[in-house]
Amino acid sequence: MVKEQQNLTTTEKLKLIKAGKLSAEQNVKTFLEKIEKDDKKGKKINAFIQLNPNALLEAKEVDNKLKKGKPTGKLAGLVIAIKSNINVKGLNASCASKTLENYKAGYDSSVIEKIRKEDGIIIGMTNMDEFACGSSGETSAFGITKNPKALERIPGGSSSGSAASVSADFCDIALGSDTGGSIRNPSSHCGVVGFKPSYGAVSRYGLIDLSMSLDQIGPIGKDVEAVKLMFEVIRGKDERDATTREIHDKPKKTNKIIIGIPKIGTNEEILELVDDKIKAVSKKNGWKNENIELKHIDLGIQTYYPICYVEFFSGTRKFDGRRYGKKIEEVCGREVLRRILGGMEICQSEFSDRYYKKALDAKKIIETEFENAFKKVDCIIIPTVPRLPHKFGEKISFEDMYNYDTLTVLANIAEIPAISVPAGIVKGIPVGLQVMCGRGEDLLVLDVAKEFSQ
Amino acid sequence: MDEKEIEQIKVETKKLLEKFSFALSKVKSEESNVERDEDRRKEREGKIGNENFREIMFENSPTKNEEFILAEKKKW
Repeated sequence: MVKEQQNLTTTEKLKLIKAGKLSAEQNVKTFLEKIEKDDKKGKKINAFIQLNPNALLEAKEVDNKLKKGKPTGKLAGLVIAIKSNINVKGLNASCASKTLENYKAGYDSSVIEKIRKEDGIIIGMTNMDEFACGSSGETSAFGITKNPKALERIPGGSSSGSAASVSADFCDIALGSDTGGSIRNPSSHCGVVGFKPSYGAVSRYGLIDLSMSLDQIGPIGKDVEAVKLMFEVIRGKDERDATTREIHDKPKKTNKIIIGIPKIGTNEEILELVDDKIKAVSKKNGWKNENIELKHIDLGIQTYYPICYVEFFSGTRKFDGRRYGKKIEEVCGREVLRRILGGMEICQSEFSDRYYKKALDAKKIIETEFENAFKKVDCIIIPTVPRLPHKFGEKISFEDMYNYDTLTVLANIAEIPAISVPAGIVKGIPVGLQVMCGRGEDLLVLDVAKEFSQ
Repeated sequence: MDEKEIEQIKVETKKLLEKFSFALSKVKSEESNVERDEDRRKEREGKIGNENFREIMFENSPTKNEEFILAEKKKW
């Protein structure tokens, strides 16, 4: 049964559940068996921090609905894993930090309310880089997460457990959050599909923020269809998040696509693989390729981190040890402390003009540059990550660690939708390519990406 | 983490911010504030406040005078 289920796409499985040929209970049980075998034992993936003790009960409720012929939701019986910075009532929203180790969420985030309404089964809370500060899955207070496709290497981050849980067949779909690439980066390294919607397309109500002007919740799945299915469920305007808005419902037709290819510096093998893939898919679909120039894309990291530092510093002032858990500065890891100290430095009035306002100016310039580019091309395609994931234990400076985000921070800065789909394998390790479109063109991103994942 | 390690992180971070600042200094500043014509929320009527709020709060208060509630952190 396990093997049969593994071979199904998410949409095929959904059809079987709705037709009564596979029960939601069986679906959950199969994943729980796999988690039992390989998460803390066996391969020791360590994708989960906590499992939902009510998952089987919730699955039985969905089965009862189906047996009685009652209408069921778009996610009926599908098993969903949730990143530990998204509030799920009754489960721990620890952000993989000692600060919130025992913090039990008192309410459901907007995205969780929507998943429950559509009969999705939440299987548990996934491991992540502490407070989403990291790109490797190594900074969690609950141990590293392994890459299921290359066990000796990092899975990427910060949604390390979410991407690993999809890659290791521990769930159907997972939710992650993406501030500078945290969905797309681990999806690329783990060989799955990860989607960061346009800023404001999905409500952030109930997300414990890293950087509120850049954060976005999004899905990770085995294929583009699964990711699209989840996006359709969680998207939409929300009164509780004033930055949300509806996105365009009708995407452009994909028969006349112009792909923009900017010049970027990255690992040659990765670049070659992505170029070949673009050429092959374009040829098959009759799409045009055009070289484009984006003058300021090499300033992504310098623009992203000052903004992220300031907003993280501001957002973490509530973790003072009084209302929630422990005082953050007393128990956090190096990277979290670095961002707090950096944010504190930038917040001093004498430095504000030098760092923060400059970064905001650069953000505006990059945003405008992308807007102008999308007047000439329909989408831009680049590799997701400029290098292969390093091995555990390998010495890597924090600056090199930041450079993992070079190509993903751009979409957050420009507030546009971006997706990572598997492009192929380099030295036995999965490599992803990234499709980006104009703000609000989320459905076009998904449609174009679908052609690359076939 | 001990004081020495924290100090080391501070120094590293400061250095990195200096590098960022240098890179960003080449950016030509433009007007950051943009008036958007779209994406504005429609104005609606505000929530009607609880008329008895003042009265109830004064009733709840253990220490008060005619015009003020005297509150001390964690005492009320």
